[in-house]
Amino acid sequence: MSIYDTDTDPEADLGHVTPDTEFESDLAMDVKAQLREVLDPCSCMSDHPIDIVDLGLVDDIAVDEETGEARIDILLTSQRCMYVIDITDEIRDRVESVPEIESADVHQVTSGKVWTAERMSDEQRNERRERFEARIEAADITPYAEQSD
Amino acid sequence: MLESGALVVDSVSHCFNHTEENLKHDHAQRWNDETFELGEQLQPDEYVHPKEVFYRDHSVEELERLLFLESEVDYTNYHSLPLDDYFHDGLVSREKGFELRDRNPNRVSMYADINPLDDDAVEQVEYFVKERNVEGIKLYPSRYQNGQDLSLQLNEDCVRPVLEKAAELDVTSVGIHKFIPFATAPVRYFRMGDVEDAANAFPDLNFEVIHAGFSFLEETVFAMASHENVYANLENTIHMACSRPRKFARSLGEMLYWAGPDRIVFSGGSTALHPQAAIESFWDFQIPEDMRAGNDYPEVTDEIKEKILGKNALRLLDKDPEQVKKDIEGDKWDKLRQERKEDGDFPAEPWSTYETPA
Repeated sequence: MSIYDTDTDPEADLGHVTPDTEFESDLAMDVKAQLREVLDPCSCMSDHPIDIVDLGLVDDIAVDEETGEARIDILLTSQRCMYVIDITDEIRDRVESVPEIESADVHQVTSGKVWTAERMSDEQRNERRERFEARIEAADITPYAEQSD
Repeated sequence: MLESGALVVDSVSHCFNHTEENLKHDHAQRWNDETFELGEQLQPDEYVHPKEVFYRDHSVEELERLLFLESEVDYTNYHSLPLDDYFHDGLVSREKGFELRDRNPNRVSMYADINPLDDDAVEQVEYFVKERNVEGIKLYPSRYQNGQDLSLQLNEDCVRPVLEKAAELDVTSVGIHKFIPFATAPVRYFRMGDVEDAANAFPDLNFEVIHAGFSFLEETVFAMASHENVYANLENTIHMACSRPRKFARSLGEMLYWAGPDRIVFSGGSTALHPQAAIESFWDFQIPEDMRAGNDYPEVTDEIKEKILGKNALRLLDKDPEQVKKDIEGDKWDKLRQERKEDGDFPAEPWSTYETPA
């Protein structure tokens, strides 16, 4: 739902947690594994559930191994997202289910940084496009630009 | 009017009432604030309203000066809004629209807002079409009532009689707000599935999806490519040509590639946005070469721009461009424009013709 430049912008500033992001801390990796279980509510409605890491909603993960405190920064697709409470609660519940985690804080990034479709994993973006193209093919639609040739 | 002589037709103008007295719902102030912020994000600084200009009950006189003296819009289509669940007057009142049209009969068309949940919604369609000569109706996908967000999708039983009456009366077009969620209404209400169903069920009605290209792009493109009666209305979206050019390029490129240039219409978004910001940036716009090469997007030629800026809308409204030109030639606004051109003051500076000048 971003109004900002999307997946074709080569200059977009990303720097977020992706499915491929590695952390030195095993505990941080465990937290990330739990975040991959949290599904984006809107994607569930579209019959193609995407977890919040694949969608690029997780901006950062920080853990203190001594105190067992975790902090998860999330950047929503829209600051107006009405599911923020549900997402936050599920993140907290899942992360606190990790035995070494005592508490989890979830922070919504409001610095002005914006979610773009480029933050989605390549796999998810490609799948979305494949679904679109399959639908076009099933409907036997010839692109206008090719009709004109 | 463009230098080529082609008309500029604005497919959505509103006369907003952003005053505190007009707020009815807890989220109404937030709605106003987010509309203001949208303008800040989408427009060059010089086109952003001063807050004292934005947060007021915009008058008909101000809207007509905004359109006809501060911008190159020659003809506009006023949409009233059915948001009386959030704002006492619906946010954009019908009566201001009728006044605007009465003052400028050769330059204004109108779509009247309908709330399908009103007991007399069907009768309202008949009244506004037959008695008030509106060319279309304007619907919203959700309504807040009795503490709940109610769905008003175009494929629902409560909406169907409204569409049936519109089709029976040969209404030109149904405008439906999509793509920009508001307040607490679920995001699914702003997707395209119901538009496809309605376009199938009512092949003689045209459906203008408002804010097309803002989100759910692939669904939109699919609906346009598979239904000849689905139009993309670029209200707000077209302002991304100046502020988010690559996102706009992707939206426009996909529409042009899959559905062609004949069912895309420009909207200036007055009075929430400044129409001239969009006209100038769109006229200078081109899809970046790397995006064209990678996606087979066509060049956005002057011919395509003239279609989007006016010709498509006139065809949708069943207006003859040459007749419209004759009708407005020498009228009050044409004369004022000529005077200003001689003084080097057309288009006038943004918001300079308002009662509370910028």
